[in-house]
Amino acid sequence: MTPSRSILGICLLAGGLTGSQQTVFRGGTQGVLVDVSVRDGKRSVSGLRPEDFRLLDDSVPQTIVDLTTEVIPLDVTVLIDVSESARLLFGDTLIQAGNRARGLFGPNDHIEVRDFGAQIVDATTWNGESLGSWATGSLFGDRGTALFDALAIAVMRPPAVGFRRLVIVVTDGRDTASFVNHQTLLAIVKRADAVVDVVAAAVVAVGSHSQLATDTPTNLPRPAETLVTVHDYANPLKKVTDLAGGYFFDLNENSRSLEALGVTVAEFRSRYLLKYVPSGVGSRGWHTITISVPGHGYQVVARKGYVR
Amino acid sequence: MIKPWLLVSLAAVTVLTAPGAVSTARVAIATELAQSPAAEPLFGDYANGHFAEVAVELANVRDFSAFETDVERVLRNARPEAEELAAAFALEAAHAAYSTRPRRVGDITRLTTAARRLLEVGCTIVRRKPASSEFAHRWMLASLSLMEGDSYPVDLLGVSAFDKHLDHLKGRADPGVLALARGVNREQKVGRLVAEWAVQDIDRPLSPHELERAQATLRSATDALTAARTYSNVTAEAVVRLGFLSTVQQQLMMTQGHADRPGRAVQELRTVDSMTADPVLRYLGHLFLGRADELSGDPRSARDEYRRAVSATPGRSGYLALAALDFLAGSESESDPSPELASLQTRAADPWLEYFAGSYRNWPQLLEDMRKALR
Repeated sequence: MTPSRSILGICLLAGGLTGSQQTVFRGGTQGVLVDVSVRDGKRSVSGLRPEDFRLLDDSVPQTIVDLTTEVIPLDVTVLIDVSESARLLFGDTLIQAGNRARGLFGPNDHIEVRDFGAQIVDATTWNGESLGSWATGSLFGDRGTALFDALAIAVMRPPAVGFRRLVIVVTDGRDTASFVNHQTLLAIVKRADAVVDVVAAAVVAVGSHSQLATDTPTNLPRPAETLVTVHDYANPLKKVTDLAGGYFFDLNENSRSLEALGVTVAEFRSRYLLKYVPSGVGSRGWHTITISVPGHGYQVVARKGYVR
Repeated sequence: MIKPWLLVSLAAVTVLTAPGAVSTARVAIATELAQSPAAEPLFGDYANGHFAEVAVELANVRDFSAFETDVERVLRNARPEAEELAAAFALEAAHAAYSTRPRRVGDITRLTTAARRLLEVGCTIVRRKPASSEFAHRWMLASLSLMEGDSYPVDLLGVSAFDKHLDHLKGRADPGVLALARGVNREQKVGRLVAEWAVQDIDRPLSPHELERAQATLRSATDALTAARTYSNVTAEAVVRLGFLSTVQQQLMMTQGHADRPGRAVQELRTVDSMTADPVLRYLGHLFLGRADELSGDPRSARDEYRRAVSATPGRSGYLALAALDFLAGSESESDPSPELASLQTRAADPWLEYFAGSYRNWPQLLEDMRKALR
């Protein structure tokens, strides 16, 4: 039987840690590892012990057999939305955000940068001046935004052995060109090992749904002044970060979101890494994980489950 | 900087435009040349067959609103023997406007408005010509391609002059091509709908009102493409597009909580390889079949279809769909990730990205055919 991807990835991660750093996990027991962020307001909570956590696997209490806060290098993908809509609506804001996100990582981290409009381009060697899609953009030059495709590709890539996987997306939130639909993206995120953080600028649509859905011919486009801000458009991305144990930062609501992202990345390096060996639960399929720190009002963020 | 060939072409303009129009035109030219190319010398050079050079100069136009007015004035005075040239020039100017990179959101409206007016200038001329002429035929094909390419990039701006143009060409253009173009026009509205679903909270079922609108949009496109399907020269593409609409209908029903089997259109799509040798249509056809099989809970058949798709055209969406299937099945391993996923690093071309732009994918060839018909 082929072991599930999550379990396998976890074992490889553990093996990598065992080989390249100090031994973190006992024995060769197969288990589940979960990255966990614990906050008290904006402050990270440190010093917690395994017995401080309550962990449920499909509502069945589990015993945490190991906990570490050891700093682990990151395997990061930064996705930067360079679609025409993002460029027109936000100028260089998203590019600068992407560049600053890239600057959050150190020499021990592995980092790749991809820009995406309809195309998805490896921009790891990008010098911050010329992004492919923007250089050629025109009304015909960029057939939309393949946000879900770009996310799916990034999330499916397994982490380098001994690294924690993090995907950061800087986007205006619109998707008009992906072949991967939202349901498939969510299924991929559920199964993947990556934590996903999203930095979104105001998510904007032009025109109204009712007009778009009707078949009434009109000869001229609506004027640009009919821009409509629709915050609900962030929901699909929030569902991604929620499932993947990441955070959603809205540049529109808080111009200091980039600083918040920096704090989150720093915290991500030293998140609690909990290990447990599932017991009393089914062997196949999706397992919902619920983690809390009883007796405190802490905010606990972790992925919502795994596939076995 | 004014190109020497532009100055030479001023002489040619006197032959092409009616007496009396030239002197006033020269004044305008002198003013506007300081900023961006002027219509009259460009038209003159176009008449001399410098198509590629004129296309380069058209790309330098800064203010298409003013340029469109200039073009209209120049072409209004074109002599009867230069009318085909005028129509072709207007179409190329329209393409240049569409191809200009907008700097601000408001530019989109200005550019598309100018482009559509330029196209209409050409269309007015062509409608005066016998529909049976080779040039008129080629111009109409190219203009439909342009309109199909126009509508999608400005998708969320909503509507375009496409319907109006289709009405203008009714009874004149190839009926199959025209029917397919109408289907593409309707299908673009479905595309906008799908894009809307993608960015909204699509896990919730649509309200009865939303569902009714969505169904109406789908029906409209299906009806138009079903009509196109009866024309043998466009049957294959109409079948591919009907197959796509069937997958959208399947998804819609699933969102509403109803399992929906693929429609008849999907069954017909399974014969796509026998209908066409076009690698783009084969790719899209198998891509949609893969999606239909996935929606029907048959990943094994879906994988076969996606493999057929990428063997026709190595498009990103096909490889991504394969990689996702492997990933979700847990059949890849950490040390040996899906080869499809690895190949996604470099593959960029993907007909799916041009899908809603219809025959615009053939624009370079259609443009060349129109230019040849001028010679």
